[in-house]
Amino acid sequence: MRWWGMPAKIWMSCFILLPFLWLALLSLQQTPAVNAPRQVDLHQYARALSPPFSNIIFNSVLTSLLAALLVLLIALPLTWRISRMPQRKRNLWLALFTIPLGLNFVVRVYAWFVLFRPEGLLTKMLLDLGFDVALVSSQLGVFIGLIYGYLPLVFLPLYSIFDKLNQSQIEAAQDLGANLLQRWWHIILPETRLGLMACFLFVFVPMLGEYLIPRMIGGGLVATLGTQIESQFLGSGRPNWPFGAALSLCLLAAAALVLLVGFSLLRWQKSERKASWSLDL
Amino acid sequence: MVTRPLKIEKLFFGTWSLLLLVALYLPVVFLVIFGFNSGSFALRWEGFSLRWYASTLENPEMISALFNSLLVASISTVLAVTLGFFYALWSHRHSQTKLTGATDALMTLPLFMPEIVISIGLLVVVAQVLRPGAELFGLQLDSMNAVILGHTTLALGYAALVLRNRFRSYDLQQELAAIDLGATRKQVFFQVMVPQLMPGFAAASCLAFAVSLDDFYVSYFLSTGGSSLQTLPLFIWSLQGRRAMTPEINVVSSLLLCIAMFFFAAGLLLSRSEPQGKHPKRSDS
Repeated sequence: MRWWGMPAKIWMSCFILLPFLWLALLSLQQTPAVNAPRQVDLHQYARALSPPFSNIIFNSVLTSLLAALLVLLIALPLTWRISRMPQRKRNLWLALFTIPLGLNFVVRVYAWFVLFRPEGLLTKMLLDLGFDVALVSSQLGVFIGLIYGYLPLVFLPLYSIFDKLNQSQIEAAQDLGANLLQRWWHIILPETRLGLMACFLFVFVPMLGEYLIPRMIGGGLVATLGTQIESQFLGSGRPNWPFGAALSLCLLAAAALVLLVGFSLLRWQKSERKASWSLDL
Repeated sequence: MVTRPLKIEKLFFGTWSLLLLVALYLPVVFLVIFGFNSGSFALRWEGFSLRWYASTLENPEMISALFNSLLVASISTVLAVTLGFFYALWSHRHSQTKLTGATDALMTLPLFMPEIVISIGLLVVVAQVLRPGAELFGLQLDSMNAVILGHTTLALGYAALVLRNRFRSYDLQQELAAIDLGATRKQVFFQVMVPQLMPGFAAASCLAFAVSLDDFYVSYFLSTGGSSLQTLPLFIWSLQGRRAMTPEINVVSSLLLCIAMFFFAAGLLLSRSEPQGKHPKRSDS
């Protein structure tokens, strides 16, 4: 019984931790050639953190931050309403919004890509309304794609946060005359802020490394961190694995930075109560 | 507790949810409908026919992609659920020790790391460590094995999480009662533990299968070495990249949706349903 956990732990160490360490080592290599003398330096990082790559990293972080925030804002009112419903109605609504999560990601993105194309429904509709915007091969299209792609991911976690919320406090506040805004600002947000931040990171981190959406909707013309990393490994040009490794470590570093800043901001605004969050599957 | 919503709140909720539902479902519905298109362009409707279904189901490329997807998903599900099951058992029995927190974090890491980093990490380790290593022993690590390895890693994260949560509601009293009543170890295992853990087991298997079917990143990065491997999502990806898109892509997408949806829904239902009402708030003791 004591060793039963071992195989799984060894598996994860070999295929999650070891690859990570290997990437870190690889990123210190100066040249992509396999049998070149192994010189250790930070050359690849210097390249990654200077233009044009620093701009791409910065853009990706900014786009993902904004998209993740919008995803939360779009899903928030809805999940809040659902969590206030009678139990039976709740399950139905939750199911409706969770089903898209089971639709294949490639298929979902392709389905939107079709609407985005110049002859697609969405573009035509926008044209009829007087907006002449290119959604394929544009930053805007990729942005919308990111929001749409990651939206189904947040409904369940958000719901479980609101579900655990102490109802009596809100009612007490309401009885004492707090309006909607006051209730949110003084009770609901402070109570749920840790969970909300966790939800935010839960979509922000994968968005940052997204490759499929920028590649399909962006048509190879929108450069993001994800597409840059991919082209260093599988690109048709000259692959440069050490540089790709350095880029992906930059990705992790950016994610860690946002995580640290996010949670320290929360701690700074201190409150005694701890909100709990767990991923409900 | 239900608070009575205001009228304006109701109206807002109604329109908001309608908009979202349209955005989430309509594109996919269109996609499925266009699979029945009789024309030869994926984007122009010309009338109803089953022509593309007939031709796609006979397409050897599509059949091999489907076969690969199912094979990879089956093997990695068996591996992931077995590993995850023993891990969850261990972690349940040793939940007092401090270490379990760290190992739980390790096990669920694949859920929180960006998939692209997991994939290229695996790509690098497979190409630079495992493949040369296997060759030393005269073995061949082809892309199929590499993809199975990657999918198992992803699925293990989900399986471990689901099983671990399931074990929290495990009733140890029943086991103790059985021992008191003179049950042998074998009887306790088969007649007390297994029936209690079965729903979690089924849920974890379905989810692991769905994760593997759904995966794009790991297959995309690991399928290139040696002979390249085609899974269904990769096949859709490659069809999308071709210059002339036929309704074939819609047909393949619809098929994938049907298969994956089944396992996803089953996994979700099984992991959320509680055997006897809602179990009390988890107590980590």
